[in-house]
Amino acid sequence: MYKLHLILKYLAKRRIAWVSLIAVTLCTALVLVVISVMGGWLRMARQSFHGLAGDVIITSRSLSGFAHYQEFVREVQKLPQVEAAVPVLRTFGLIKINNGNPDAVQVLGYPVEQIGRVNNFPQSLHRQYEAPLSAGQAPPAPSFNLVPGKDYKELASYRLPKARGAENWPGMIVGAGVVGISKDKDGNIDRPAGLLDAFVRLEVMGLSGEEISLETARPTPNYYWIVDDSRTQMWQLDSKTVYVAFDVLQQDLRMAERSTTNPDTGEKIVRPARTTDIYIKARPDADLEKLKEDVTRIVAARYPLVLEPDAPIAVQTWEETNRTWLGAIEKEKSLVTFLFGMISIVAVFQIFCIFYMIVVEKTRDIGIIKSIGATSRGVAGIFLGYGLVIGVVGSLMGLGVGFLIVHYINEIHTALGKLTGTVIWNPEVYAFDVIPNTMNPNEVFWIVLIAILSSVLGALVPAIRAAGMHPVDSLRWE
Amino acid sequence: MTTTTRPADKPADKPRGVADAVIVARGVFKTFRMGDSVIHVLKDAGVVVRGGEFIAIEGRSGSGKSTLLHILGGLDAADSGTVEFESEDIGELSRRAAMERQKARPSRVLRLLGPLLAMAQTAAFAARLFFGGGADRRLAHLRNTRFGFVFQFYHLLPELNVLENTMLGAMIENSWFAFKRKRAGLRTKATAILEELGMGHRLTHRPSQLSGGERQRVAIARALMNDPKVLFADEPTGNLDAETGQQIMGVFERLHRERGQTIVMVTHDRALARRADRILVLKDGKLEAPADADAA
Repeated sequence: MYKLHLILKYLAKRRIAWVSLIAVTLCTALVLVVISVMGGWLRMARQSFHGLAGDVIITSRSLSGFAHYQEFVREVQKLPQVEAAVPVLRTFGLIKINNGNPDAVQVLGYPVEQIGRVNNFPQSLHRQYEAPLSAGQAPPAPSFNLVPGKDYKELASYRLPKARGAENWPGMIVGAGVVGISKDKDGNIDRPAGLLDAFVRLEVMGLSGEEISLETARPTPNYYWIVDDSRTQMWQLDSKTVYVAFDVLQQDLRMAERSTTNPDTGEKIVRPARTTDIYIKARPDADLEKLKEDVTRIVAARYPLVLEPDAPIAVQTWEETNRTWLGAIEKEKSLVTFLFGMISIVAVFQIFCIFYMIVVEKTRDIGIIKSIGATSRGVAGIFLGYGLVIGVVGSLMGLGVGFLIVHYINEIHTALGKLTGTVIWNPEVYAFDVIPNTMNPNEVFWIVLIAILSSVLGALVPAIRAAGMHPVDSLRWE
Repeated sequence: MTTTTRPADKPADKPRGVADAVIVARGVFKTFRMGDSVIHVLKDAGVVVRGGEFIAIEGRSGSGKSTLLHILGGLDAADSGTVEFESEDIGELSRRAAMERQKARPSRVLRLLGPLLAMAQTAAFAARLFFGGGADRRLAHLRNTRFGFVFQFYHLLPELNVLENTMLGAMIENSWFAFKRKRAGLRTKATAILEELGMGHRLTHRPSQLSGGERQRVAIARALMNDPKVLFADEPTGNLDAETGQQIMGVFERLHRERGQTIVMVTHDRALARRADRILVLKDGKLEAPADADAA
């Protein structure tokens, strides 16, 4: 009884202990914010990577791709754990928007009517998803079709008066960062005017000749109209990627099915169509490793090399595909957590110092309590309980502060940016243009528990010292 | 006093023998080390305290009166000799408790061997603290339920008010639930004691708001709260002016007369000592009867 009574009295009257309380609060909040942001960053990266390329990918390690993809798609879709499989073309090219400066980009060829079956690309579109949704309308099926009602012939005549058939140019969806769509200082998304009036000249390397080789490749230009922009929130992707129709890109890359004649024998040769990737979406309960094995078996029937490491064609889970990125983020999270954890150890020493001071200051009181009948264990209990109460109250206050900071971190970041003119969360570094603002209950539980245990640990040695005090020496202490 | 347990006659008038003794101390030795020199404070000191007796131990400053009082009350341990309280060897208990405490501090040898061993020793003490410490617990129980202490400097807890200071012993004795159950009764009892000591109007005041005499009355109330068998008073008037000192002595006399309270008081003031039933003088480490017959 007396222990709790004295703990509460000391907590109310000894203001020096409030410093410990503030230290525990700040350390808990600090670690919570860091782990929530870093953990959220990792979660966002995983979700984005997972959402962009399906669960398992058949991928070519060279830009020349692989043939027989229709057969693979057919066979893979027969697997019971597969929901869908969609071929995707991936290459690099040079773009010029409205006769502006050329820029290098990654070009993805999507069969857009199917791509939503394997990834979240349709949800990243502004005109065809976000805008109708915010207007309360059902989003249409995504497409590369030109924007209805626009006079493309007239639009082309301003900058390319000699252009012919501009009204028939295919549509292109651009990554938000390619056309400078970004957040302004107030955190609003700033979209340049006339975006959907812009045309793009895209040049890719068409792989030609008998051998599929870059040595004989020649640049293939094509004109497109921008019909939408995509904001996956993965800055590296959004800033350097454009999307075009699969069949258009396949033609430009000369990877569509071709018939040639052997000049020596006059024999007709059919070159099968090629692609660079197949995205496979698994059913929710599927075992990805097992699915990978099954897909590898299918691919191995045509390309036995797939079984070899570093083969030009590979089957990977989405985690393996993005291992470099995810590994880097995981390592960074561990490093930052470790560093901030080390800083938090300072709080333990601070509690130790303050409690030591309190024990010294309270030496006579300890003698009084012992002379009235408190045991050494009871005296230790007072100071351990004191540490426990400071740990519980401090960590709960830290949880509150941490929650508020994490919840409003983007607003805080924007306000700080306005105030200081600096941007801490640079999307070019962190891949996302929003700071993760969710807390993981599991992480919160462990952080709060560790904070409480640290407080008790900080109070342990002073408590033992108090317990070991001689009652008479304590009473005579000055 | 309303809680009289003995007839109002002077208890010392009754003939009593060793059979009535509540405390018997024999051959008590105590030395202190001050640097390289050793001071022999108690040398074969012995005393028999009978139930209901008011004993004054007199001696010069530094003669070892307080040390003897602490040893009799189980606050300190004698180097050798026996101290029995109601036939229980509290001298041995005190020595064992002192050994238990001593191990909290790393020895010089261990300090030389390194902090790791010192930490291990501290950890061992902590383990003993939580799972052992039987002598310490028994002594603490005796101090809580059988002894009451009144000190020269009052020793009240500054964070607690008068009522809380008085009830502190009862708080220590009872668990949370037991205290909650008995709270009203204990509060009534504490209030009654404080009112009898003239402190009924100061229940919610803190020690810093009280005069020296008032603080000492609160200390006496705290000592009486658990109905102690023996009340130890260490220079209870030493920090008070003469008039207040007389008032406090009046309180002790009343307690002795009306409640038959056994009191062992230490003082250097012969005049105050004369108000006790019996005076013992601590001289050269030994207790002896006073030289002048008037004092006896």
